[in-house]
Amino acid sequence: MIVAGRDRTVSSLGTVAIALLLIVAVLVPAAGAAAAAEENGRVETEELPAPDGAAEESAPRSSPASKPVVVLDPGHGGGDPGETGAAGTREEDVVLDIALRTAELLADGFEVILTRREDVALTHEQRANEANYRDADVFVSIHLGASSAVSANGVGVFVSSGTMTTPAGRTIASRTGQNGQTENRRLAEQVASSIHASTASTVRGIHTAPCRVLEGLTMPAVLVEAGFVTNPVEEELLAGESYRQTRAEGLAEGIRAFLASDR
Amino acid sequence: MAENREPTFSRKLFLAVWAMATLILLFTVILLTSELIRLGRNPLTLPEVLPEPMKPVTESPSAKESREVVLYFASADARQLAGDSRRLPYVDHTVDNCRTALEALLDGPVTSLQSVIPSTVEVRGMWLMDNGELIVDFTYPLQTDSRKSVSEEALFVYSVVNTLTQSALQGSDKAVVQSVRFLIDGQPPTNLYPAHLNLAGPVYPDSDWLADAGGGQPDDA
Repeated sequence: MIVAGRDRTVSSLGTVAIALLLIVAVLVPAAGAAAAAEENGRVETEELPAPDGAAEESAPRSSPASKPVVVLDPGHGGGDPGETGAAGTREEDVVLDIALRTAELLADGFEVILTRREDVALTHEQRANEANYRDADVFVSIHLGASSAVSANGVGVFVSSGTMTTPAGRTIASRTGQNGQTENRRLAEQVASSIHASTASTVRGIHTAPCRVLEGLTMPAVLVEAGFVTNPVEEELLAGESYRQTRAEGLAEGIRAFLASDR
Repeated sequence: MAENREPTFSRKLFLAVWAMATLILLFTVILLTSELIRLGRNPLTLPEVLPEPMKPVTESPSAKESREVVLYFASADARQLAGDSRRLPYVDHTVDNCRTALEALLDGPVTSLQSVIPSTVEVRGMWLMDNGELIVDFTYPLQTDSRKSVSEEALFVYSVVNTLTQSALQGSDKAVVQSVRFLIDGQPPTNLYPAHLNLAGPVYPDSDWLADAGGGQPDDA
């Protein structure tokens, strides 16, 4: 009887152990799968390309006859001053002033949006998302040049090197009838030509480069370096109001000419 | 008779242990399967054959001959890239020839051309992958000592890429460099450098930056 009782006890323990193992075998992978799903979801959210996502939820124009939308993007800002010249001229201040002046010049015929109007920090994605959300017709990012060669000077215009086959490039193609790179080039040529005409300063040319801020934009876009803050002569000019005004006039004329030929 | 058919204690213990061992095995299989599924792998297939380990650059083999190589530096006005032809040692392995060319690029130009790589920057390592991607790992001063503008960053990137992808560096191992992936101190570049360009992926050569190709359509007027 004692043996039989111990047998029952062992048998019960075995049953409990088996039951526990079964529960663990079922629950642990399920919990792991749930954790993995949660982790994957978090990664997908973080890595979701913001510009494309923003493009999908773009606000439609209020009416077909509304003014063309121009987004001006003064680079840097906030804790990121950009490059600073030997005399202390800061890129973030100069480009903001040029952008504000350009906006004023375009205010009569266009809806002009600035990605920043004060000294605040923005990510590249926030700048591009703003333009996509506003369904802009043109995006111009304004920066200054800086070089280890102090003689480097003039205005450089850059277009994205990857807009031929991206979703953003296809969106440009569908809205303009041209591929993204062609439209970017056309805008770059208009801006370079107008700046040169208005300031007679050196235009360094139009180059392609994988610029972060131009990625994912769904409208023709360029990045302009409006002068070299590392060149002592040009830094002094950029510190003055008249030089910034002529740069703004060149930019405004280039944008106006591009949109006029686009219509 | 019925009592005789009752399993003995030792038999019951054996059965319990056997059942537990089977369950533990089953549990392990379930865990492994779910882990493989989570990693996106098919548990029914054999493990993928891992790519050959990257080939680290060690000591440069002794050169038996030399070859004309073009190093791309910034033009005097830092607008574009201009070629500076050099006769460099030539060995069998493409990756070794690339290292020689990059070291010459880091040493700087001997003409009026400009270097866009700070003199404090060194190369930590270089690996050539089977897909033609050359991974180049620069030291940290690249991030801290470089000028941060689109023009300067692009000149740096394309001076390296256009130099290292030229066919003159191809060794008798027939390995070809098609693109260059940048690392800084062993890590992919962040937006601290380059501040304006996206170097998350490999970069392919771009003749748009070369002065000989009329790149950039400079306007001297």
